Amino acid sequence: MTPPLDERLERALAPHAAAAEPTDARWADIAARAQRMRRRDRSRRAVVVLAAAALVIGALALVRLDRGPGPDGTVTAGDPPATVDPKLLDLARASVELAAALADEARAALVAPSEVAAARAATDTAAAAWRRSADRRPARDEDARETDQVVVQRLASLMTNRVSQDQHASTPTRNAINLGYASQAVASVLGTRASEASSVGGARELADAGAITTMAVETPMLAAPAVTPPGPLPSPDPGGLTAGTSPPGILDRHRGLAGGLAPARRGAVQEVLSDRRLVDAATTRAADLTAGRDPSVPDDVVVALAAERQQRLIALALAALAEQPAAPSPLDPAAVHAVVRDETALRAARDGELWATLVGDGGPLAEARSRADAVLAAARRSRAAAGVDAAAVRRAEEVEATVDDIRRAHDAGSELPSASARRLAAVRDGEVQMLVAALDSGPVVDWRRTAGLVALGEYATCITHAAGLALRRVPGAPAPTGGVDVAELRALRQACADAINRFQEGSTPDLRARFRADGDDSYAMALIQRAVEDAPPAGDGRPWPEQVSRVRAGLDRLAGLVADIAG
Amino acid sequence: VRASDALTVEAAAPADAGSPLEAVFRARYGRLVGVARLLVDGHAEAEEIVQEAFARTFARGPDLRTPDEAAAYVQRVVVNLARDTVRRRVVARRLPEPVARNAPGADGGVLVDDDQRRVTAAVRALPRRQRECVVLRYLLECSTAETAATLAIAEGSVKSHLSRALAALGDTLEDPR
Repeated sequence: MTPPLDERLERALAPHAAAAEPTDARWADIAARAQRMRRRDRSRRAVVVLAAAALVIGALALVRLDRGPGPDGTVTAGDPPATVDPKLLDLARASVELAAALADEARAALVAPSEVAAARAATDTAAAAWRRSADRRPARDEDARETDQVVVQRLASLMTNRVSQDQHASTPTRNAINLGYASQAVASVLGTRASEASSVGGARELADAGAITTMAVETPMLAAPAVTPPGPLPSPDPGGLTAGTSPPGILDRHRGLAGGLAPARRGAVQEVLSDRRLVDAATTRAADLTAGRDPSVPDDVVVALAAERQQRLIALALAALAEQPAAPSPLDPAAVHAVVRDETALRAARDGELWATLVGDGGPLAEARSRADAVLAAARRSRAAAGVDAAAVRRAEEVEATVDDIRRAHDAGSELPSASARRLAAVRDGEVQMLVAALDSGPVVDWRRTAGLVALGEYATCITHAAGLALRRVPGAPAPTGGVDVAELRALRQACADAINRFQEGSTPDLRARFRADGDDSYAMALIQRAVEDAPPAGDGRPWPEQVSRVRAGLDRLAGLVADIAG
Repeated sequence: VRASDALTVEAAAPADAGSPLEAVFRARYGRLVGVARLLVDGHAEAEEIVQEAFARTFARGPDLRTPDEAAAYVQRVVVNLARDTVRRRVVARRLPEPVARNAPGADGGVLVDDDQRRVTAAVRALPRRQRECVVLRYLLECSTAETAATLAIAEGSVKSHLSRALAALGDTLEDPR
């Protein structure tokens, strides 16, 4: 008989209490560290007293305003910028400019010491402007308040960072990484406010992509495709198979920017994100470093490429905030709605095929393919009837043209199932742009529902893919372990977390409540976690078919919720 | 056993050797490392977080006069540092960690049976707030009020997070037979 949950929790967590011993050496180390902190604090106190006072005043203002009654709490989603709260737009601009300034200070710290002073002054000016804007436009919910406080803390830590840099107590790389974190924290402010205006949501994506660019410069491994180096494929898969394309590195993660930007501007964004120069340079550096060689691409080349990309993204973010309202859509609302519904169904059908590719046998796979083909036919009829964005239709059809090849390679056994699944995921991601185009074309852009639908759909696809891979690592699986890369699982787990965070940040309370009630993902997530830990046994001890059916039940409920939202 | 029960040092001494803080260190260090490890999923990072929390509290000076005050303060710092670490990973975790295949996980050598591993994995899979509430309740044995104070949220929220967490855990850990 299974003991009560309370007892199991206490028993399972108790061993963690003995994880480390409070030795005298550790205490001495702590005491020494504390003494260093005290000395450092004393030495910089005189320097930072004014700045600290300003920060305290800013923080107090935030707290005071947070506790007071907020302004009109209604959501301005979908309104053109002219009617979005101007204080919100002001804060968004200030956030983008501060993120840009932090990134530029990081660049100067790395490769242009003579520009550090000017870069710091620019950061200070941008930080002061941000604080003023944040005071005028206080956060409206807990998440946003917490994010604001993180920014305040990050700005305070910049002082320490600079002192360390000037005293050569830390490396330029470490300083730049800290600045990158600060930049990303600032970009998060846009995320927590993105629920209130679509243009802010779009700016967030771009500023975040810019912050990631800065981070990637410092740690080229981040920018390189997340893939295990080629090596012998694990048995029992037959030899001679290809591992397929690599999972994307982080510089590619924002290539699917969705919503919040005018379709015309999205082309410019895609152009920046499709520029491979920085990715290629970072990949080369990562390969060099992994092999223990001196980097063949010099630091200043990589940093210059990153700075250029960052500046282009920041300029686009600021332009997005200044976007004029789009002309009313001439399309028939009912026809556009049909596209949204059918593209959502197509995404689910692709997920079903991907799932069957990873964990199904011949029967379910054939069924999933038939279903995907049928849904695709319906989706194509809807696309034609609605007259939605012809370029998006062409892009979707281009990726759809690769499906036959993927299926043939899988059926012929010339490609690992995990590689076929990865290519199917790329098809699905291309098709999702069609959904985004349809949402853009709707007569009323409700940003929060749009963001919620897109993010929850993305979560469903990520968790389906990751759970399928995780199940292949479970003992007793018909085709265990073949080609499943823990690095890919980690990347997918992170993508799940990103998507669900995006959903929580950007959707409406009623959607979040429905997810809490119906989005049962705990079993799948626990399975993925065990697989990522890579400690056998990967499963939970249940027979493999039962684990599959439990995961599938949760995924079905999640897919049903997404379909229901799409209406 | 809570800090108030385990610690008997009541002297209003400064936060140096022999202080309430050192008493907290002796009594709670391992448990706090366990908390951090469950929140950030990494033993080395967990130790670093807890040592940093103690150092910050130490550097703060003599204003924490009782073990209870010191324990509560350190606890808050640990949770905040753990959150900060997880936030930073939003980018950093996109990099495949250089962990060797089949290397022992963060719990290597600690968890002795499969049920403990399952429960720990299920706790780690909980959303952040729920995980924090469960860990504080079941590992640090904090009351609802203490949990609320540590997380800076309302007691009602703690109850709500715990209730959801236990429901999710109950489902995940349901007996397979």
